[in-house]
Amino acid sequence: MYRAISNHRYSRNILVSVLAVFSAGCGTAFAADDGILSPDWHLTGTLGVTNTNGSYGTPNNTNVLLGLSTISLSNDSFKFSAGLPYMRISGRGLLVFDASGNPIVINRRANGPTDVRTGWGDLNLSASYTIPPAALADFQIRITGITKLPTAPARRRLNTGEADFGMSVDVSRSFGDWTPFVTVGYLNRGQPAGFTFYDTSSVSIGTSYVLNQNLVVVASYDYDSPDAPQVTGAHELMGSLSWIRNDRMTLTGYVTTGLSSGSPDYGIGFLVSYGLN
Amino acid sequence: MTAALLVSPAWPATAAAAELTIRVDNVLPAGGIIRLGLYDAARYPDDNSKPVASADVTAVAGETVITLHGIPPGTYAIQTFQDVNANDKMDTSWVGLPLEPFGFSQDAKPFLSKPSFDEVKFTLAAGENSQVIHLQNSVKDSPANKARDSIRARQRK
Repeated sequence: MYRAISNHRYSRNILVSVLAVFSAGCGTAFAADDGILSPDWHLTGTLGVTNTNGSYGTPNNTNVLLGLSTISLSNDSFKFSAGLPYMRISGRGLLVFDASGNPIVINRRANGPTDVRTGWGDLNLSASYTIPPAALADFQIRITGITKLPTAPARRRLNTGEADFGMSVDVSRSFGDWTPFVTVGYLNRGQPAGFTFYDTSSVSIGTSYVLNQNLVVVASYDYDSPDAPQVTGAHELMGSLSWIRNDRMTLTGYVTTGLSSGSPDYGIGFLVSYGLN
Repeated sequence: MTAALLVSPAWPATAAAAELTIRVDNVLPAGGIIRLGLYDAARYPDDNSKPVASADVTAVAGETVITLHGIPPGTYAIQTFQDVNANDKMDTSWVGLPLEPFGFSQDAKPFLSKPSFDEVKFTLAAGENSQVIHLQNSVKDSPANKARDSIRARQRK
């Protein structure tokens, strides 16, 4: 037995190894060598619908209905996701979305009749790496890179027509049933000709609370810095309830309320995640 | 539910020998084997050293009890893990993070590397002694993580 303990004791070189992960690139996660990869990859599909409403700093209300569809491949360390929303934007302000799902008002003074635009939005891709709590004295760190590729047809006027790139770092730690978290992010926004957009930073502070092994509530305060000259920063509160029905299925309902003119007045949504393997 | 095993070290017991009962808690229902090693200060830092005493016990969900007999009194440390797939090693990710539950005496928690001997040491006196170790699970699929993974799909951040 002692050999089993001795040869596989807690590694002293985790920090060096973590740094090596990023230098090697996430693509190596798909290497076929069993000695490199955790063999346990999970495929998860998520479907949902969300509706937000607000003026977003414009004179008129805009209603945004999103059908969410995401597919994710994950193991104990990595998660790769691809998401494609179906969008229905109704309002006078010309509103599009960035890679974080934040609305961008690109024409504050649109005063024409209510404009309804529908169609598939941009393709959102993300890759994240999680350092589990076992390595960091119960702190869990998740590093995520995101990009939005301008796949939506320009004639639909649902996007900026440019790619966005960003990254975020999420730190959390469990204290019994409570798991407070802080997420900070930065988004480099693509600049279409004729418009001025800002790169944005974001902060999310919140906590989850495990009611029981099947029910979890999450509450957070979210802030995003202004993304265009016409709008202010977005301050928002979010609350959600997740029902972990079994190992495969999680159902989540959530509500949001805006605290500033740069955020929607309210939002409501429902998500279903299902393990496909 | 508990399981117990009496284990003796390799050398003859002395009159002043100690007995150590270790309760290993947070054992996953996944089964496998609880592998445990007792180390002194000289052997603990060396990843290839032979423990003073060791035990392999069938894992019982919840709590597994292991008793070591005939150990010289002194200062020791315990390392243990649940070998869920019984492959005789602690499985790790490609960056060396543990993929199976593990634990140290004093319930010391690692920070990028295993705790130092000073953080995990305890004194073993002649006669009966006991230790409790709660296994630490590196698996991410906690209810809190599942809920946050789900809510991330709302297309923010």
